[in-house]
Amino acid sequence: MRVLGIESSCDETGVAVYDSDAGLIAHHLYSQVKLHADYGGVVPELASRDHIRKTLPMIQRVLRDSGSEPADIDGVAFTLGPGLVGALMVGSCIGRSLAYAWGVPAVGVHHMEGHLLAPMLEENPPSFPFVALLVSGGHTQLMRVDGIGQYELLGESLDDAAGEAFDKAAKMLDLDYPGGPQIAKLASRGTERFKFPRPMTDRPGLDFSFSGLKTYTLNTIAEHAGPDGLPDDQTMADIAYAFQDAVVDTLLIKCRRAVEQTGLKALIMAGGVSANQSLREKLQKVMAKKGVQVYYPRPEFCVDNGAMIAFAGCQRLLAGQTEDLGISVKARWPLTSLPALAG
Amino acid sequence: MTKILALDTSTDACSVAINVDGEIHEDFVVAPQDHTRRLLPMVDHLLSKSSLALRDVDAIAFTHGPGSFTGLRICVGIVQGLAFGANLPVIGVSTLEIMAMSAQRLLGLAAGTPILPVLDARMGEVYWALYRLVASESRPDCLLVDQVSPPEDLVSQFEQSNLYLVGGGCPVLDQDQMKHFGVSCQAQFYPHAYDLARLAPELLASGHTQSALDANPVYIRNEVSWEKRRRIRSQ
Ligand SMILES: Nc1ncnc2c1ncn2[C@@H]1O[C@H](COP(=O)(O)OP(=O)(O)OP(=O)(O)O)[C@@H](O)[C@H]1O
Ligand SMILES: [Mg+2]
Repeated sequence: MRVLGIESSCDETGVAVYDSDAGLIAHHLYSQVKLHADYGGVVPELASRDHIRKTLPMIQRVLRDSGSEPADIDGVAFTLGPGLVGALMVGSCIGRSLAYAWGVPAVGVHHMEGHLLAPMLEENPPSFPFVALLVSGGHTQLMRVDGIGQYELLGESLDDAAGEAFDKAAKMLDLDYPGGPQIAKLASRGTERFKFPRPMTDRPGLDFSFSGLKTYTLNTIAEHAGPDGLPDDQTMADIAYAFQDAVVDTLLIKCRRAVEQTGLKALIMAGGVSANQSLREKLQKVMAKKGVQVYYPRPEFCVDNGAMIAFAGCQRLLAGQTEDLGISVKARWPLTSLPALAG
Repeated sequence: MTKILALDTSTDACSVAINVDGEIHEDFVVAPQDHTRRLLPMVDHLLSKSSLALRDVDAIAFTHGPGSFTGLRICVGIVQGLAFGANLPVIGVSTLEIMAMSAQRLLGLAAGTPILPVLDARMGEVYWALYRLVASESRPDCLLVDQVSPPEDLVSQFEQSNLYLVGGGCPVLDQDQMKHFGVSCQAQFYPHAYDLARLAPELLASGHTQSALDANPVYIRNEVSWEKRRRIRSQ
């Protein structure tokens, strides 16, 4: 089965063609980062305006790149939620009507299921069951995954998501949006001068809280601030280092607990923050000691992309799931409410 | 035989029409916030009622704006998918022009009537244009093109005159401003895909078509101002 996948839930337009026999055969990503940079975050109306301009030309291009004629496409998958309503509507409307015109089934994909299954696009994919750490701009969740649609929430952030914390800390440090890669870059010049707290690690459980780190970062900046309100460059780098270290360490502690609690021997990590090099290295090291195999997507598939939507959609279409002609995008949509796939 | 599929979701109304050689069928509902759920099922229903497949259609017409930003994108998104998938040309028409035509047909206005369709543009402004109705089968004359302005600027464009105001922008004008035009308005008035389907064959014949890839909303308001972030140090 060959599936066209469309992602438009936030500030990335992603289109891909995935084939259940041949694997991923073409994909393209357009990031709106530059468009939103001046505003320090995503402006929903600008995002929607860009999606409606970019999506169809990208579909045409990806079809061409994949060597597919419309008649070769057996189904269309699009992100139905969660995300920005206006942005979701663009990909969903185009995807659903395209499937209708082609006379093929369509399926609305859960964005986080896309992220969660993204490691399966790599060589040597994980097999069920496994623990999943979803760390993105809007989510920080630990899941037990027994199959597609069989998700048990083990723990999640009670306030800010990890990616959101990176973005907010970056803003305090006067860095560009999105903040994750910027903090990581700055932290690489930092030293172990400050030690930030590891929130909620001193008590049992698998929930997270990152909003306190925000305050801690703000206070540390204020303590060392020069005349323009910011510390000197080295201190900035040291703060970035301490911040990243605290987030990474907190994630590691909870991941360790999750594999101990479940007894599972595989852990996957996905979502934008899983692109973080320090996190990847340390998680690998910690889990190797416990005999747990770690899986994550290539960095370009950690952030939003069309490939993960085409893949997740293909699995659901293969199982016979389809979407009606009426479209109801979902701003909020718990992952645990998805139906399980048989098999 | 010309066959047109026409779609409009630029206001709280949602409508689809099919024109088969002059015979027009329309599905029309007022369904705020429900356009994505309604539009494609309405298209499918109307096509099957007309015993047509999508690829039997010669062109897809849509109202490109002005209107609700989200509504415009729903329509354009659906039109892009349908037209690209079925290899059809598209025809984008001003929402305000279709409102003028719908008003002529539904309110029985005579040729020669100057008509001012107005839509709520938020932020205390209205989208508007001035048309003069001609013989009922033809395109109205456009006297002033689609634009956005505060109601006081709209009023100042006209001597006291008997213009016919239609559309959801009427309540944005205060009583004095309404009185200036000397007629009562029809605020509960929506564009109808019926009239888009009526107009489209003429536009198709004269080559006013686009590729699905170029189908885009015409927002009119482009300079929506969002607060820019202040940076401390230049990078
Ligand atoms: N190298 C990195 N280190 C840390 N964080 C990163 C890195 N790269 C990206 N991020 C963060 O990842 C987030 C973006 O990830 P992603 O695109 O998956 O999130 P989203 O789609 O906005 O949210 P969600 O998927 O929860 O709806 C941003 O918060 C960004 O700062
Ligand atoms: Mg994401």
